[in-house]
Amino acid sequence: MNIIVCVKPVPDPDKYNLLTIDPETKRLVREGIPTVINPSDKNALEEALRLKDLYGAKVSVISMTPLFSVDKIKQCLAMGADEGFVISDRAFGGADTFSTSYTLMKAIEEIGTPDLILAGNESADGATSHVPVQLAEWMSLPHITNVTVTEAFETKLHVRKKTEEGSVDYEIDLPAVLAVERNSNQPRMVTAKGMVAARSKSIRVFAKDDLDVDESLIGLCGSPTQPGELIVPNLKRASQELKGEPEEIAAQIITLIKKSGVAVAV
Amino acid sequence: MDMKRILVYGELEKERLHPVSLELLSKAKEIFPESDVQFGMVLLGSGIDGAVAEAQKSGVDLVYLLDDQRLSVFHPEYFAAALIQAVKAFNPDLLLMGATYGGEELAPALGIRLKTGVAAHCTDLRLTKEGKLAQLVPAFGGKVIGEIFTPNTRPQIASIKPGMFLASPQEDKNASLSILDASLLDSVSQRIRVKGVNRKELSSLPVEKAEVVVCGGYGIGSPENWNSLEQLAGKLGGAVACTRPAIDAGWVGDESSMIGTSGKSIRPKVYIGVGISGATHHICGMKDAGLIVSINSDPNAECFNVSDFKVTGDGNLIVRSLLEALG
Repeated sequence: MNIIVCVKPVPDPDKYNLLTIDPETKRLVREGIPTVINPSDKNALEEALRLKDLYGAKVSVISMTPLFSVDKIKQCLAMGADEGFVISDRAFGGADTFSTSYTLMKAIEEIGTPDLILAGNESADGATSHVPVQLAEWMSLPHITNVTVTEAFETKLHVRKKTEEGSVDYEIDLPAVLAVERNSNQPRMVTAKGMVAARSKSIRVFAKDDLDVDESLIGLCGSPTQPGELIVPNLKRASQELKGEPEEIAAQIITLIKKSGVAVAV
Repeated sequence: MDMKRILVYGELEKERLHPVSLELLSKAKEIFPESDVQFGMVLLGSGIDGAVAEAQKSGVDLVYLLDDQRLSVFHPEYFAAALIQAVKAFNPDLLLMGATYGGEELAPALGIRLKTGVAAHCTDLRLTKEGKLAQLVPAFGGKVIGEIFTPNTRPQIASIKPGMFLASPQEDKNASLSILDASLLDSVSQRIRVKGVNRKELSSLPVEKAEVVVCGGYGIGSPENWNSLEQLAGKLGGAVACTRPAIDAGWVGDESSMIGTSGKSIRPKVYIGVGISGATHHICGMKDAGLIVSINSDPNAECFNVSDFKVTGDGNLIVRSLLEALG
């Protein structure tokens, strides 16, 4: 089985409270925030590696990302992926999910359609959850998002999708695209052995001219959605301190609750 | 481009209209109050007469319906095909959808099939001075809100999380009903087959409906303390909610009560946060609460900044005192 896992290097989501906007340029300042593999993409990779361990598979990772993030692709290889592909060109910059998924589709055409494409359900930064579905739609493949459980059979998978009411179990024919939920498994750690093995694995870079792309569908200009201003919402409130012994504070809180129009029986 | 035709995807919840459908309609009517704007709602499901009646009374001009057994459970391909059919029939300038587990999968699929832009998980919609529709989307866990425009393609599509807007009563009119042709489902590929539905036991008072929400984070520290938090929520007639670290710690079984950008957005009358540092993604889900009280032992906890009242100290002690006071 050939599996391609889509991964995205993102600013570390645990440090988003350090982000600011430059008042002059109105652009995001992310200095001092390290880049990490998007958390749910690690779950997608783990799912691929689990299928590889169980049934044997070739696992490739692909990412549309600036070249400085290539070490994150190496990290995926050290976790156990077999080869890496990076799509990187200024011409792809500013792409929304429509043109990002189009570009991914074009690179995957170049690599060859795999049996299964996995991706994290959402990225921590943009968090649209669009790319896995839109990639599938460009490729005319079936897709299921919010996947928590996968079980493989020869030409099909059994998957579980999380829903408001619980979950739904589906059978889906291969090739297919699945978006894997965060916390659906425990991504494996990188080992020293894995890091050594990664050194002999290849990472191929696609620039625009390596792909058969329609220029009207790539980058910012090929994106049907266009960004406007960035706003940092001001959510500040009075933050008045309640003081005293715990029972005094409890009494103050109960008074506040009652004042808010909630009936409390004391 | 003018917005003259607006279609709302009528999300269902147990064969009834999901509140998000009315929230979206209310917002759209607020932004576009002009009398020449036409509103439609599309309902896809099986055995949903109740929802159809609700939709016809919701204030829209036209309701599209496909009531078919094949739509009894969410199915990405059947639902996308049916929704496309409604879009073709109504020809909307704007399509609004709830960012539910189903809507979140349908919206981007339609974006590719209709070759148009989709704004995801909007927190607000508003008109600019130039009369363009700005879709406000959170990024970086809600730390930043970005304006998104879809200048050239129609319909423009926006998904909005439940709980972002208030559903307000609309004028009483009886919308006409247009039945979509069920045979459109016959040509949908059979690549995905529903094998079963697993219903979890739903809380009798979901967090998004509670007037008082007691929310716990990693600072709660133990299952015993979590138990006290649940008791407190019960005594206040409210619901207990959580942050991601509380789930990761194993005190909470699933994400249905998780508050934040990847969880639920709530606007209770009272929110009490205990042992929560105040990560951006959490704040984004609770910022609209009426009264916010935060209890944390860290005097620099981020959550204090967005709180009306703060208590610096051991949250579990305060919870115990509250329980004693409430008897």
